Amino acid sequence: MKRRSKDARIASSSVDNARRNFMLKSAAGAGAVVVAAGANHRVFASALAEIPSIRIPKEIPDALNEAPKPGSFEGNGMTGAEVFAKLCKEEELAALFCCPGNYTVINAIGAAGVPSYGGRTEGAMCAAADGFSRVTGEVTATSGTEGPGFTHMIMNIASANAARTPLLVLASNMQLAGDDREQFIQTSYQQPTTTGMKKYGKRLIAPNRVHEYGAYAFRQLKSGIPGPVHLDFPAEVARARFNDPAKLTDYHSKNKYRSESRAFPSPKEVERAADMINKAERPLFIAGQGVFQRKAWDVLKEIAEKHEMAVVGTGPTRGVFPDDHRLSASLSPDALMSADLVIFVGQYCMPSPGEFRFNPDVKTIRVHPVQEDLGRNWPLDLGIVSDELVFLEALSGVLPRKKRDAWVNELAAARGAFEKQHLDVYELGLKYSRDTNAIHPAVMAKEVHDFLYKGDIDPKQTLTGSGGWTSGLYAGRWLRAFRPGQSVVCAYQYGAIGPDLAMVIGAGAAVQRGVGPQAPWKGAPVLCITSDAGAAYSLFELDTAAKFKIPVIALIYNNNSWGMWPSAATSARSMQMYLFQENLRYDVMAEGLGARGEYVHTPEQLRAALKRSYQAAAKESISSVINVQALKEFTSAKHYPPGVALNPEPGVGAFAH
Amino acid sequence: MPAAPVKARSRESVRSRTNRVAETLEGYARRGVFRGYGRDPAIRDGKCSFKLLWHYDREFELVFDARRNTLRFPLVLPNVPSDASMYRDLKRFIEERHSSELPEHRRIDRRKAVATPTNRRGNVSLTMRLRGGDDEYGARKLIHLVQEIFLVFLQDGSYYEYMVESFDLDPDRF
Repeated sequence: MKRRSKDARIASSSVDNARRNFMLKSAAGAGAVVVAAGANHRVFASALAEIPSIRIPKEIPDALNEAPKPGSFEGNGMTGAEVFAKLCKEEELAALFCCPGNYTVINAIGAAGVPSYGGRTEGAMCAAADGFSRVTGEVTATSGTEGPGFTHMIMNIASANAARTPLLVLASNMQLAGDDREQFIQTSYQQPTTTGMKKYGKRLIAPNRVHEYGAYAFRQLKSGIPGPVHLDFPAEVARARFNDPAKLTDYHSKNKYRSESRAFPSPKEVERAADMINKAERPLFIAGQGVFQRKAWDVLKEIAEKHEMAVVGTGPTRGVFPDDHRLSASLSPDALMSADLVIFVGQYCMPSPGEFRFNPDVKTIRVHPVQEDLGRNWPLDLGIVSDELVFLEALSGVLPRKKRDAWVNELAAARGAFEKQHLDVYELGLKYSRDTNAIHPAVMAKEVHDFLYKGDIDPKQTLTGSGGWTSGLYAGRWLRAFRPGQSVVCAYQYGAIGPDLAMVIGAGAAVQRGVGPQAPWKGAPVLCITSDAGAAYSLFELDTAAKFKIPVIALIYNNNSWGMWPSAATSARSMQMYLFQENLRYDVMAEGLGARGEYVHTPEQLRAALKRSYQAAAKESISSVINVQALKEFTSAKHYPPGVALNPEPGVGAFAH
Repeated sequence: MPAAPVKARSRESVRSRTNRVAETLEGYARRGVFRGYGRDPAIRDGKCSFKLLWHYDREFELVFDARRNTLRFPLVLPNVPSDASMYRDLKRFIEERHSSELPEHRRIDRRKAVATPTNRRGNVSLTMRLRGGDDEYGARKLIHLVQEIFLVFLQDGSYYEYMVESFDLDPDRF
């Protein structure tokens, strides 16, 4: 194997040094025009004084510190955009992530007081909005300009749809007066474009119905099973002016246009479920996304402990049940095969039999808020229409206290076997790393695990997310969730490569503000493991992280290729489609975007880089990229067994359902 | 009522045993374990064939031979050379399913049934020899075993590339 070049820059010992080194190299290069500097505006070597530093323009903090200025029916009146923004504010829209475009609407939302973040690409901003929502359960919005900006979001709207994220997708859409004429630029038909990837959508065409359709949007976002809602705003709607609310149709408050009422199970159904659970020897709760959305984790834990039931959390967000709990089966895949009863609660995206690691005789109860989905994909022994929290509270009242020592012991034995299996692979990876002077993905993931959960940091503190093929599969096995919303499954169900970093930056915004379950960890750094293939989709959002001082530590597993390169190994004239230039420097790119960069190719370097990066994040809110240099051959079992393997579902590392 | 001739009783016994196996398999089909299920209406030489649409939407043939007391999948895994480490690992995995160290609900009880793989030119078949006359037990345990081969053995081992190549799977959909 090719060794890393000796002169490859090893991780610098401090934040300042990393920046200074890059500046010196940049200044030395012919035509260098940009030099990295700290977001803290430090002054560097005088020789470089003529080259401006990267800095946050004064207008950004000034704008963020301005008091909200919502529209008013007085004076010039409210625009349609301001009417809509007022409704968003009243509905407690948690955040807007956008790129400029749809100007009237995003400006109105920002002015109304909704926390608003502008970034570099609409697609990544859409992923950031999704990430914020995944770790809080709150409704978030994303926006872009009519044609190109909107279509750039598509991959991440689809990801949000697969993850059942309550995401409000906004986009401008020309003028009604220009419909079908290809007048000037950007004509497109938005609503057909999002068919199949939204819960509800509408092109607003009647200005006086802007509030009415805003209500439609939030009714869909906050009722039943969540999902993206797509509204597109022609200029006649966004710019219309209203001096009199009487001109607006259905201008009601939210308690008139939607309800907080929840589906309640009948006592007989709860009794029947309790009877089945009581008779089972090895019952297993599948705590799906609905348990997180409905913040039902406390009662879930209470029931599990009272009745000694195993629990696995599923969905796009991890942590509704702590991985280190003795009743967690997240790390006990072999025990899943022993379950004789599974109770799906709030599993919004249902697998089919054979996709979850269950035995063919397992009995099934499914609790779901809407009737239409019961029985889809997975035949039922008992289906119950109910809100997740309501069901768990009702069940808690009727389940007797019970001990299940044999089941608990089986869970523990399976957990031990699973952990040993991963440690064995890690040991093998360590040998490969030493042999090749490149970092095996098992080593990367284990080092991060030990740093976050075995050192000085509170294991519950750091929110993580991961993606990529090789990197995501290995990271999934070693990242943990000990509290609700601690980990984002970035590739959940849709399997997109690339939104990871933007998604974690969005989640980081939620941590920065301490929203919902992130409140106890307000301001803590967040960490993302992604791949070199994935980085291409999100890397520029390091600028966004720097602008908003969201401290993210991004490990980029750099194996010089798309992870699927083995698909080309037996095909002539194909490999060129799968490989990149070797030894690209994502750490240097990060420095150019105002973040820190670290380059590592040994476990020892990685350990030190993690420590430095975490310090910079925690103390100075500065983000870092750690370029983890690897080899593409680590993906292949033919070269370096075991190569990649899919993770058992459900459990840690699961991403399909 | 006069007793039925021995030959007729024997035929009846084969039919009723076959029906019992069929009911067991139909139960799995009703539970969604198989996405498709079919039974050859004819019983020839004590044998009846079933078709199961199962893992990765592949069709599995299962043959119940009442006279030989066997249930057999003629093809479970293709393209596994008999001298490959994968085949050795598979034999060990199947053997371990009979271990007394496993909890009872996970174990194949040797007193009732024994599962063995056979490799012919790379095609791995799986035979469950039934002991003690409990055909339903044998059928259930064989279905459990194949489920574990696909959900545990293949997924936990280094067989991702094997699965893509041998089952002609799209790596992005897999």
